[in-house]
Amino acid sequence: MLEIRNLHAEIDGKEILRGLDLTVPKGEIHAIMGPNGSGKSTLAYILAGKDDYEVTEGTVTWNGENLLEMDPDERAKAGVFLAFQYPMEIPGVASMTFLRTAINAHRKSRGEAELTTPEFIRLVKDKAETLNISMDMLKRPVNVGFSGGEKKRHEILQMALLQPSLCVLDETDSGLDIDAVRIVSEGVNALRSPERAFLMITHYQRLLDYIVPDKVHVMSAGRIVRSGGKDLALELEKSGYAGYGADAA
Amino acid sequence: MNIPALNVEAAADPRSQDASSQLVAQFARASASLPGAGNAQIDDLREDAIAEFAVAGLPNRRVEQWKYTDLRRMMSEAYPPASAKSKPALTAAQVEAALGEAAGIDAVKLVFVNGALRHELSDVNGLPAGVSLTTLAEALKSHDAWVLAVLGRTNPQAGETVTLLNTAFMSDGVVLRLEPGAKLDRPVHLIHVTAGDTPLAATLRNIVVAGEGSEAAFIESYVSAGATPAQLNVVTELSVGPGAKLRHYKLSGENKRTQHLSSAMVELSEGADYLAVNFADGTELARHQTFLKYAGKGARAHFYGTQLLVERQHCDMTLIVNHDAVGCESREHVKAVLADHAQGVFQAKVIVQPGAQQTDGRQMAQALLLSDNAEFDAKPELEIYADDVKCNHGATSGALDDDLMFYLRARGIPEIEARSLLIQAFIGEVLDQVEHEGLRDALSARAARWLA
Ligand SMILES: Nc1ncnc2c1ncn2[C@@H]1O[C@H](COP(=O)(O)OP(=O)(O)OP(=O)(O)O)[C@@H](O)[C@H]1O
Ligand SMILES: [Mg+2]
Repeated sequence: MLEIRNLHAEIDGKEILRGLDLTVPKGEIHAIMGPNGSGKSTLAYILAGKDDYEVTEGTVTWNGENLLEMDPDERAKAGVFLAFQYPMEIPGVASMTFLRTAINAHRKSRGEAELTTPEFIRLVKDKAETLNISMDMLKRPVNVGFSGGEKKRHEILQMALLQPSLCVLDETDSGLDIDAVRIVSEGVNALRSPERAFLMITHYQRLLDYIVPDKVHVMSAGRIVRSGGKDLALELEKSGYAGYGADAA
Repeated sequence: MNIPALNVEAAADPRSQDASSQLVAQFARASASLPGAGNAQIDDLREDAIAEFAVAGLPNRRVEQWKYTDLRRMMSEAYPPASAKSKPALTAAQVEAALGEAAGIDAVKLVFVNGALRHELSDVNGLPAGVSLTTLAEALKSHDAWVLAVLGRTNPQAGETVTLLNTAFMSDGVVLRLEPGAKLDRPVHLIHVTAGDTPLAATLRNIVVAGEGSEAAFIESYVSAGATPAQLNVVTELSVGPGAKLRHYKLSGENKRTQHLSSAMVELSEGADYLAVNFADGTELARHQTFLKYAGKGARAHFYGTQLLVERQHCDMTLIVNHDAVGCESREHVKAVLADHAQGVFQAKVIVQPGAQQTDGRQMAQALLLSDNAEFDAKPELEIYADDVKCNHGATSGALDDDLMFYLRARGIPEIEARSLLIQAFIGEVLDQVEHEGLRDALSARAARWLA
């Protein structure tokens, strides 16, 4: 279970999260919607451990473990995965080297042997196929020359390979074509399990037709201001964020 | 001949003097036993050189080209020339251990220990037709007419201090001659190892003459078998004939008690194709100079350098590139990874002579600073006297990208591994230029070991 209590965080002296409370039990998918600049990506980054942000108050635990005390790589090994809103290009680092280093780092922390080259390639090939990612794309450096949609699919490929237990998806659907939304959604649904929790940040109710959330939260000015069932997304689609204190930021 | 300017008599106590005076005094003592002594041409060459050296001595930072590498200050003492008599016992296994990853490269090997060739450690079999290989010591002792005719001829920077010193003291080296059309199927690998307990100086002079349309790869590796303090001065004269293709790789990986001065003197004929890749992770002090002259149209020369430095290591890669022919191409690209208090230097002066139209020259220097105390000095210069040219230069330096580090670590990759991936990516651009696969892998593995 992910438990966030009274989370306050700032960057460069500017408070972005202002007392955020959120609970996501294992086995559930929660969606977060909210106006631009309300702090959704900030929350995602803080969960993954980006140290640009200063947490000034509050707690974040995953399965009882205090995430805030852990380095980003330790959090990843504890099961946290962030699919970035803007995946980074890393010139000079081959995608396959990157994937292999990441997989082996996880295996090592579990006391498992590293994958052999054929094992690794087979694994990547399998997962890439289901996400409609060509192996040619993976011959390039990480995300370099990938289209916007390809970058997002690459994020989901990493998620499928690393099998995290807390999946945070930051606008993974933005920039995806209609077919890709379906493919990516299938990828996410395939990972649904009683042991996993998902936090999905999105602007579009469309995604929630494919990945049906257990709960929808509205975030505004650094706080969850309303929570409801999947119908809340439909309502927001019609009425927008007026009345949620979007201006308070 | 008289040796002017510096006081030779005061040599009784070498420590009472600066290194320049010590060198002049050492020459007076050693000249009679240097290879070729007694031959008037060789004697004159050496004596003129030491006399010219003695006038100015080692350069200090007030000499423009030595602004960032104050040799007079950094080389406060001149170690005695390695004695030909004291041959440290060194096994092939020890040489391989000293070479590390580069030991496995399939090549014609010439192993020098403390400046002198060791036949029993070398392997010069299997040279194809049209290729001759000898050592400088042999050539000087036998007054080899061909070597005497070419020696010192490829010298685009006559009068340069470090090369003058080399001419005075040169004691051995590789002499490689390719007849027109000759092709080496394996590289020639010069391996220099310092060994023993006493500080020593070694002076090598290599001569590579690549005839028209010939092809060769020449690798120089400098390593240490232990903690021997050493001063190396290496000059490599490379004459690349019309349409010839020469690959020139260099590893400077000695211990941190070594000072290494090297000068590559390159002359390119029409259509010549020269590639140099320098890899430096060793030495306390290094100055790797390249003096390049384009003497025929349509020639190209690419120089790539990588510096991996820690502690107080200082490495200077300096080039003077003289375009004196039409339609030539030059590239200089140096990447430095600097930790602790290390200092990296890149200077490249590209001169485009009147008439050297359609010159295409590009310079780039990039440094990754792993510490606030590390320093990178880049001085790219263009001196253009022709109007139809395409030249540019750039320099950047900065720390590792935090956002990229976070991305990697968010995938579970520990900090040290993440950093290593990014640094390898950074220098990969240089290492990828090495065309010889075995050497490329060896240098990548060496870089990975440096990062670990
Ligand atoms: N370095 C910074 N200094 C000051 N403010 C910042 C900094 N970085 C982000 N912010 C601000 O923090 C706020 C929250 O940004 P965040 O990216 O979390 O929003 P978001 O909800 O993800 O928006 P979007 O829907 O557009 O992705 C924004 O107002 C943004 O301008
Ligand atoms: Mg965002």
